[in-house]
Amino acid sequence: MNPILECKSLTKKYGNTGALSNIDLTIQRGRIVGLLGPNGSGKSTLIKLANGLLTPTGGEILINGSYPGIETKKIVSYLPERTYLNDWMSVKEVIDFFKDFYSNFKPDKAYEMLERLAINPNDKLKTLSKGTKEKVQLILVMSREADLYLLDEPIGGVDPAARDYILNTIINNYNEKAAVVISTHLIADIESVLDDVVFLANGKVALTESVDEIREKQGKSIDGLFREVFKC
Amino acid sequence: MLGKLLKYEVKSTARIFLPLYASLLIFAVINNIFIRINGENNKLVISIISGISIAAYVFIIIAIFVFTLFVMIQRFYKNLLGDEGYLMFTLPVKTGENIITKLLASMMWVIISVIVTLLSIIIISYNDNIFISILNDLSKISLEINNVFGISGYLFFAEAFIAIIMTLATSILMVYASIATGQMLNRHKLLGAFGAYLAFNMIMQIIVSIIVVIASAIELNTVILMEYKNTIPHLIIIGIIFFNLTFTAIYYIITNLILSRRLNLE
Amino acid sequence: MGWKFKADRPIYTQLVEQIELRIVSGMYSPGSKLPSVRDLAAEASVNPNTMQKALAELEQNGLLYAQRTSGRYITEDEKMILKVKDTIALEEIKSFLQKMSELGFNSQDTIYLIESVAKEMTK
Repeated sequence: MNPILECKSLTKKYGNTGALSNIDLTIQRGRIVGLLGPNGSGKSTLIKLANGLLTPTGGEILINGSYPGIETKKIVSYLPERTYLNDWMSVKEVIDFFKDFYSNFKPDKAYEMLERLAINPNDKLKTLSKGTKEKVQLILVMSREADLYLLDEPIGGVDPAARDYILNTIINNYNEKAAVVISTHLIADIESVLDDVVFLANGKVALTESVDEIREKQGKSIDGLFREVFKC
Repeated sequence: MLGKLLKYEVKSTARIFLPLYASLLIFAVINNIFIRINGENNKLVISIISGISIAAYVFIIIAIFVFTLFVMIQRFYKNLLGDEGYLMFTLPVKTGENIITKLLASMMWVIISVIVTLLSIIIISYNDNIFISILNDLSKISLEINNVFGISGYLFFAEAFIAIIMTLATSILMVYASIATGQMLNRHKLLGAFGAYLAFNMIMQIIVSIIVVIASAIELNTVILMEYKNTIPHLIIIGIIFFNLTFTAIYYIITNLILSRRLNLE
Repeated sequence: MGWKFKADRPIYTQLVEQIELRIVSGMYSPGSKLPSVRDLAAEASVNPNTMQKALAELEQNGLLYAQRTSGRYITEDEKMILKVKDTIALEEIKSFLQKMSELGFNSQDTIYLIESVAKEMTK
C-alpha cells in the first residue's frame, strides 16, 4: 500500500539558512510516529511542508503519493502549535465551520468529546482559557476521519489530566488506515503511545527506529536515548 | 467552496458593520427630526443638542469609511497571514478562492457603505417630494450629458459605475499584492508591504504618464476630432475600465502566485 | 492492579508479563473474554500495535486463544495457568534469593527472616 507520507531528498532553505536538508523518510499507515528533536531541528518545517504551507526548495514531499494540494488537504488533519481559530465564533459555530469544509468531519464525535471534557458548545472561544481552547482544537482535529494526523506539540501547554485524556483520545482514535505523527519534546509522556520515532537534528534525520527496538537494543527509554544523542 | 468562504467572511465582518450602519440610520432619523424642530423653535438647548447629533452623524460616516478601509486590510492580513492563516490555508480550497473571497467581501462592504450613506442623506433631507425631485435631477443631468457629449446619460452612468467598480478592485488587489510581497520577507514584513505598495503605485503612475504622453502625441486632425468629439469621454471611460481590468488581473496573479508558492507563515 | 511500565525495557514484553499476572491471579478468569485490543491499549495507555504484538505472543504460548469473529479469550486450561503461575513465582524467588545473597544473607537466614516477616504480616 502507498505510504501515507514520503519525503525524497526533501530540502528547505530560507535564504542561505537550511531548515531541512535531504530528508528521506517514509511513514506507513497504521503507525503512530514521534517526530522528535531539539528546537530548530526542522520538525515544524517538515510538518508545514506536509500541509502545503511551505514549498520545498529541493526534493519532494508526497502525501498518499500526491504533492500537497487540495486533495491532500482533504485527508490530512493538522493541529498546529498555536490557536488558529476565529475568536468571535462559539464552539458550536466552529464545529459547523469544520463540517462545512471537511466532508470527513464527524460532528457527533466532537460533541461527545466536548461533553466528556465539560466544555459548553455555546461558549464563545474568546471566553475560554488557553488550555480549553487547545482541547477544543484537538477535538476538532481528532473528529475528522483523516488518513494522516499531524499533531504539533499536542500536549505542550496542558495539565497532566488533560494530557492523559489527549493520549487516550489518540489511542482510541487509532485505525489501521491512518497514521499519526506527533511532534513534541515531551518524550517521556508519549513514549508508550508511539510505534516508531524519528529523530531530527540540524535539519537531517538522525535516527529512525521502532520504540521497542530501541529499548531492546539500547536498553534505555527513548527519552534516555534522546538525552544522550542531543547532549548539550 | 467559494460560497462557503464568502458566507464566513461576511459573517465575520458583518459584526462590525451592521451596528455602524444601524446607528448611522438612527442618527439620520434623529437629525431629520431635529431639523424640523429647529425650524419651528429657536431654543438654545435644542440647537446645541441637534448640533451634537449632527456631529455624531458625521463622525459615524467617517468611522464607517475608516473601518471599511481598515477591515479590508486587516481581514487579509490577520485572517490569511496571521495565526488564522494556519486554518485558512489548510482548508481544501484553492489559494485563489481565499483571495477572491476577501476581495468580493471588501468590495461589497464599500458599496454597501456608500449606499447606506446615501440612504442616510435621503433620510435626513426627507420631505414629501424627495423622490420625485431626485428623479428630476437625475434626468436633468442625463440630458445635459447628452447635449454636451451626445451619448445617452444613463449609458454614461452605467459605464462610470463599472469604471468605479474596476478601480475599486484594482486598488484593493494592489493592497493585497503589497501585503503578499511583504510577507515573503522574514523580518519587517509590514515595511516590505509598504515598500511594495509604493513601488506598485509608482509603476502604475509611470504607465499612466506614458499612456497620456502617447495619447497626446498622436496627431489628431482637428476635423476628425470635431466629428468624433462625442465619443472621447466614452473612450476615456472605456480606457479606464480596461486599464483597471488589466491591473486587476496583474495584481491578482501576483498575489495568487506569491501565496501559493512563497507562503511564509510565521 | 494498574499498568506500570519501566522505561528502559520494550513495552510489549512488559505487557506480556502484566497480562500473564492478571491471568494467573485470577483477575482475568479462565475462559473469560478479553477486552478488545483498542480498549486494552487505551486502558494501559499504550500503542494499539504494541498491545496487538503482546496479545499475539500470548496467543502463541497458549494463554490466549482467538475466536475469529468474537475476539480473544483466556484459555480454560487451568493446568497451564498454574504452570505459568509457578514459573513466575519461581523467577521471583530466584531473583529475591539472589539479591539477598548479594546483601550477605545465606539461605537459612533468609528463610528465617521470611517466616518472621510473614508472621508479622498475618497479625
